[in-house]
Amino acid sequence: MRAVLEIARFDPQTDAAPHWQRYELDVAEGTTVLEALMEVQDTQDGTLAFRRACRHGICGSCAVRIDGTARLACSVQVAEVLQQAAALAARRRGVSPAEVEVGSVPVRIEPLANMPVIKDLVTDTGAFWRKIRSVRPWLDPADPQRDPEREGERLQRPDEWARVAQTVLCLECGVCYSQCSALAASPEFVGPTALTKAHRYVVDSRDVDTHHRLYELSSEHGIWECARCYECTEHCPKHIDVRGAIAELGQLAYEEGLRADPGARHARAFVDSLRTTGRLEEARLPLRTKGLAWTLAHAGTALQLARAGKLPAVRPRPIERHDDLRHVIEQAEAEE
Amino acid sequence: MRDAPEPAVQRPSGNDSPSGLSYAYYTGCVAKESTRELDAATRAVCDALGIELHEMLAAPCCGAGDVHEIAPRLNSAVNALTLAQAEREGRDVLTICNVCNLNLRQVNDELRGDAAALERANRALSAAGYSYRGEVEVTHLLWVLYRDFGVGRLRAAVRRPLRGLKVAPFYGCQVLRPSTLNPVDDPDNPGSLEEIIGALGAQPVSYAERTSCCGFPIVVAREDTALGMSGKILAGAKSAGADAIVTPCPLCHLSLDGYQDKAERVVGDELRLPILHLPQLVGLALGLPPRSLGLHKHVVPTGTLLSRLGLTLG
Repeated sequence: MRAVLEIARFDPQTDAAPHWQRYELDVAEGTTVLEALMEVQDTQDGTLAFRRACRHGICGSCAVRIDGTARLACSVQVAEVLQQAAALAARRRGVSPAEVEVGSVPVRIEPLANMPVIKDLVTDTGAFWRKIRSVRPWLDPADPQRDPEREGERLQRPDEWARVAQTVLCLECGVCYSQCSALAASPEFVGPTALTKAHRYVVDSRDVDTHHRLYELSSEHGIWECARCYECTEHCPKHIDVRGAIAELGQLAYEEGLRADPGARHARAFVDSLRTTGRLEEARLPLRTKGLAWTLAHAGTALQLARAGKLPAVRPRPIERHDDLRHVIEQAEAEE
Repeated sequence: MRDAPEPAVQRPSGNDSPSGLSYAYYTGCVAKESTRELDAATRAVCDALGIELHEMLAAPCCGAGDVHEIAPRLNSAVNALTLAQAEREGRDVLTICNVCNLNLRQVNDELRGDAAALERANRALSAAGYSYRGEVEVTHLLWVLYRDFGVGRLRAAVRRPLRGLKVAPFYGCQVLRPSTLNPVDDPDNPGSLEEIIGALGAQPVSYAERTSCCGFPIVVAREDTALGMSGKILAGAKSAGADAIVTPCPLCHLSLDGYQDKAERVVGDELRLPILHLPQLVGLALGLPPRSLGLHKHVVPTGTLLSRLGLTLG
């Protein structure tokens, strides 16, 4: 099968900016994108730089963006992405998929986003690893002097293991980090990879540092900066529900009494308004989340909404039969 | 486009609507407050297309992912009440907000797949005399227009083709991702909005940010981060030559319309890009008066856009 790859090339010594370079090659059925990159490097252009090691989806080295989406190059077949590219081109041109020959539309390969590029597809992972280190990704066991019962082998029950069984699979490949929308706007956000690692230690029954970990994760660029775009959950090559793990960190921090962050206060306001009216009390949300001074300083947005006839009511009318909801809430909370 | 699995089941009761479509209508909170024009436009468009809406006046807030985050069991019970109300009516739930749609679908999925969770939710519901069997589908106006009503019928209903208008589709996150809960679009390469825009006679504009995140969930808690996110989308659509952005989510709308002047300061460029709710764009093409679609209730004025169609806010 003929394949056309367009690869983002960049050499900091000679290039001001990355440019696309086109390579054509024949690939056998089942060829992965990584194998195609290796073929290009071996037979056409020895200057092409990319990372790779295991070639079977476990080392996490070869993540790149393929037609805009971060994926492990070793776990995607060229035929699949060529087909996708052709189908997409057909839709853009408004013709039936049969009219666009598979292989005629190039597949674009770029380095991961949210990281500086060193050369071609190789990115600078310095900040990525610094953030992972910042969550102290190692078990902190009890001090045997103070807690002699916990000395020796630390066993886990199956249900305890089940809590870490998903996030422990993280390859640290950077796919979620590249896809993360909040990181693109706020480079200091600790990001989904480090939060996944953090989750794995926070929920581990053998770790004794839970509160302190959650305290650190509740900082300005921690848990509550996640915008819930679900890019991480959607694209994790190990199918980890990354957003679900971040949400669980939020829940655990809240249960630990770490409720000062505007994100936690925002969440609390939603729970409270279920009790009072059953509806979001939109007009009060800034006050509840950020306090009076901030709300007054940011009154401009409210004024604009008011001018457009969009200002929410200070206290909305309760939903009909609000008592039903109150009874459901009381019963649910009685069980907790 | 992936193969759609089972379309939402249509039930016999209350389903003699002209289109064959009838729903329990879950407006969500924001369409009753700061985006009331979305509720108005949805009603006007569904009325014109013969889609029957029965508003769920006793349905609670979906919790917006916030209740899910700090109190997941409470979140399941609260959304189970909404599902149980719809089941008692014998109708599927129609949402007009990405966040409501995902929250209700997440809980529905949980209750259908986890007998213990369903039992727990039913113990809570019993306090209000309700129970839930898991028989309700939750769907979104975008999916109903695209798949259930259908692009073909929509094209046939157009009275005022939006010729010459370049419209940038903006999906918002939670109608696409996670794709396990989205039966309609490819999460990375969706096409439903583009097809609808085309069916209305307008031209869909292609830009990279059409599936990215508007940042709304953190716009109060982390304003700078959120504005950086929405600014990129607005700038992307603008430089692709869009006359307007259309979105199926009122929260994306608030982010892109209500906060647009602040986003302008972040991207350092004047944008003044009108943001339309999906049913507003559809309503214009159906020939409905702009005022009935609430097009006067926008922060970024829509007058210039309307004048290109030979219309005024009247």
